[in-house]
Amino acid sequence: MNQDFILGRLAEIMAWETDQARREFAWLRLMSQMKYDGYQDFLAGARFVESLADWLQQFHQDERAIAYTFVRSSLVYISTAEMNHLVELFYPETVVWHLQQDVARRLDIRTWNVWASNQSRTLFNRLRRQSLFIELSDGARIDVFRRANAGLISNEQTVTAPRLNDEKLDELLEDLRKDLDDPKARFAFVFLIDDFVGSGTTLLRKKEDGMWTGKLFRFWEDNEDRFKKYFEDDWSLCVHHYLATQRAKQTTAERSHQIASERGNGKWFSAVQFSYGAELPDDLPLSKDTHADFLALTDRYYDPSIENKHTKVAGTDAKLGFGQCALPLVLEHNTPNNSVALLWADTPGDNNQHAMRPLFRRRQRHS
Amino acid sequence: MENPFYRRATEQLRDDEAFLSIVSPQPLTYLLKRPAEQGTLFDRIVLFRGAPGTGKTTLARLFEFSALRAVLRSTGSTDYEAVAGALEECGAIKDGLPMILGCRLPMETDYRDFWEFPYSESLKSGMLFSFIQARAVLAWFRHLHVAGVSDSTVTIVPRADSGSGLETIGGTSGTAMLERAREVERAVYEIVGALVAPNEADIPSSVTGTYRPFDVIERIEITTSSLNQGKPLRLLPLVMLDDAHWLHPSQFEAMRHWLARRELRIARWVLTRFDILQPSEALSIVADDRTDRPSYPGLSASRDEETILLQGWGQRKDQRNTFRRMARDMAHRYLEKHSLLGTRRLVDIGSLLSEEAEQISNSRLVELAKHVASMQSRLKVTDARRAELEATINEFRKAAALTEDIRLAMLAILLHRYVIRTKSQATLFGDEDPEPSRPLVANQGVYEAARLHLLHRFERPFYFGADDLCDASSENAELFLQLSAILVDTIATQVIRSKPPVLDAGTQHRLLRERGRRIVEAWNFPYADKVRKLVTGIARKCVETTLQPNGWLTPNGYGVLQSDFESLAGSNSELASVVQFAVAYNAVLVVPQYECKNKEWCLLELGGPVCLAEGLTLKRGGFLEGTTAELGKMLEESNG
Repeated sequence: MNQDFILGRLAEIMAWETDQARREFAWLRLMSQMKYDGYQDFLAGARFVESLADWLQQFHQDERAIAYTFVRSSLVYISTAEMNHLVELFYPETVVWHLQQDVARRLDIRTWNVWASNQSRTLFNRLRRQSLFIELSDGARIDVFRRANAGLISNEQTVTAPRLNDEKLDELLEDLRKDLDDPKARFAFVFLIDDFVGSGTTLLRKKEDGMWTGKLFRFWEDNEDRFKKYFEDDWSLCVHHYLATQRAKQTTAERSHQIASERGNGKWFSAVQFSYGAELPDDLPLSKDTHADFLALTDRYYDPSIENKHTKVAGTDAKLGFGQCALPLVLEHNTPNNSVALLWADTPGDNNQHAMRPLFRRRQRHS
Repeated sequence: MENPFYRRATEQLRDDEAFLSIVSPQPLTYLLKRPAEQGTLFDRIVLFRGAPGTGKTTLARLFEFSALRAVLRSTGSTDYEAVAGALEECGAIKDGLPMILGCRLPMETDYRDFWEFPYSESLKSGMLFSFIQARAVLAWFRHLHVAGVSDSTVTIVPRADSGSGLETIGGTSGTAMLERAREVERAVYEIVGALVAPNEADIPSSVTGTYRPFDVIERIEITTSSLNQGKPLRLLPLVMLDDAHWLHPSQFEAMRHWLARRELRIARWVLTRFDILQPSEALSIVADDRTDRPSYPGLSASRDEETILLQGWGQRKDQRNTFRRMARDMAHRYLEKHSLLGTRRLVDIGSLLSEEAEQISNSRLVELAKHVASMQSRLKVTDARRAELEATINEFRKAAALTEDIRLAMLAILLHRYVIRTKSQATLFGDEDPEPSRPLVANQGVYEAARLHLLHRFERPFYFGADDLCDASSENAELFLQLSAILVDTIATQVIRSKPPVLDAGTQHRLLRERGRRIVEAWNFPYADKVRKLVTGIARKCVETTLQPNGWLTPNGYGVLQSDFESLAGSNSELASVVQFAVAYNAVLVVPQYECKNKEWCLLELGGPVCLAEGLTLKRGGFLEGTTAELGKMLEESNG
């Protein structure tokens, strides 16, 4: 669709005067070109400005300014370039640090001496090869990670599915031993990678029946019997998210501690380290203090039909998103369900409910 | 939809065709045609001086060989016809063939580094000159390569007295000369690029040895040129050293003297801002009387060098009219490139900016009428006299009726003038309606003052129409585009909103004033704070005078005696530097040797953005009389 045409429509929808329209057009053009049009679920001819016009129309005239102001000043959008930057930082900032610490521990030297001798450098390179990188979802962008670290990380160290099987692990171990020319070599590090953690619920949580669940728990359950064969005795598990909320950071650490103490030795990983490429600020979630007007809209324009068994896991409703996280966040490949529902919900409006129109349509990843 | 008005710097347009499509030939003809006819444009060093945005780089790019070829390739295209004609008038093109081989060397990288070296002055200068010459030769050949000319078909036509100098540049063969230039450039660049400068004794002979192609070359000949249907083509090499203000002043002086030598045969231009000059020199250049040489607009000729000012040259009326033509032409070219407006053929800036004045609101009109009535009563002017003054106003501008608010404002001014002119009249018989000492006339001055009074009292639109837009640009193309951009954006917004594209006077006025304020706020050049204080100080005094009820003067400048101005660099060096940078960055325009009241004045005329911001007339000539000492005090007071 001709962008100029839709901008004209948007000016009508928002009832902007010429001066305001000029300023907003400049901002909309810039932001759609630089960021928002890159959202993967937009279609040719129906990108950001078109979606915005459609989204704003669902509100009453006097509420549209509130919704637009929210988009203009509160929305946080992580673009492809920004996310790729976080992926590229993962190896130099996180992986190297972990390996360096381990080399220092094993050789009983200071971390800054790791690069000073052949012995420590050789051990560092060996540990790097003994590291396995497993993506917890397709948001982990293991392809980008691999390309960014070509020559350092081989294809035989990266796994694109979180559920491993013996055949795959045998294959990986064989390649490792061949590369190191060591028939007894096993993996020393496992890095579980994901793009975003909002509440920490999907990663690790306790169900109502007292049983643990989540991706991390599943990783334990699936592979508990395999660790001895494929991993060194004191292997390390590192869980890395490119982006995290403060709440998730705190919750994850608490739950990890809780499960370890509940289950005891041999029933949980001996050590799990969590790391984050970027941490979203504490005051990012919407609150009555900062966004009372917009939160009123999330109440008024809510259709409970978006609730499902997944959203119910972490809260009473999904107005403020999964786990009541109340995030104003959009990732270029999908909108997290932790974000406020008004941003992503799409409902037909049956049962006399308001038909919610998404600004950034969300692709469901849970089945 | 991209607004091309935001893309001014011609360096941003890499493609020659794109560059040519936005170039207006007007200043080319006006500034260069006559010196070209007189033969001074290509036979001595030509110093082009101008503020940022006056078109220095645009001018240089036009004379580059690739641009000339692009123009010639498109012969017959109406787009380039005017540019081609102007280039022919300047002697760069003749009979469909290029006459010069121009290259532009931007001085902003590498060249200043020579000054930092711990070597003797002569060695540093020698290295700089070798580097410039080598790069010029490489640039000439690069242009020829792009034109499909192979090195083997290029020969050098040396000066008759070049002697052994010819050997040092590689001889007459193009291939050998190019090779030698590469060798010298590489050798010098290794020193420029070195982290630590080598000892003077360790500098290779390839750097310190003789290399003076500028002294040797008279012409460059292409033996079998496809540009000339296989026949030989003889070209005059032209080197254009752009942005030379990046050099250290001592480097600049050395280079200027080197290029000013009469025996050089190649054409050489140096383009620079005023920044490079000492305040005394900068001010003396702008304070030179150039009005008595109307046949050489902007030209200050000497036997060894020419100075061409790209702004503030020649007869003032000519300047303004020429700039208006150029600016409209430029706006037309830019609007054609606007994806929204160009496709709708909304390309005439004049027709997009309404010139229809807007009257103040009815309630304010009533307020104004009451004000004038009470003024009449307070000044004790009879109804009959008022009727007479109103008749005078009616007489003014018979063709286009004046709006009621203007008529009332003009009447208020005339009432005050009447009182002043009757004050000294004898009232022996208690005459209640005395005759004024001089007849009162409603003229352009009264009309302008009335509009300004209404501007300050009611914010009645004052700045509107294409001519005001041009005049507010202080004859500076970049400034014109900066001011136009916001108007063009608003026009486009109106089109998008399915509203008529024409901007009303009120909108233009508001946007221009806003932009003027922002431009002044955004100044960040050396002495910017003090320049801001100085111009604001002058402007406030001008506003004070403008608002005098009898509207006797609508100034936008400050005049000091010419002799006072000429001694400024010696008497107050700080003020001289402030004025120098104010001139260099369009905050003020210096109008030297202005005759008024049998005295010779030098005017500091406020730039367009200052006038817009402060609400002053854009018309020229009105100034407050003062001294440089008062200006200095104004600066001190502002500081306090």
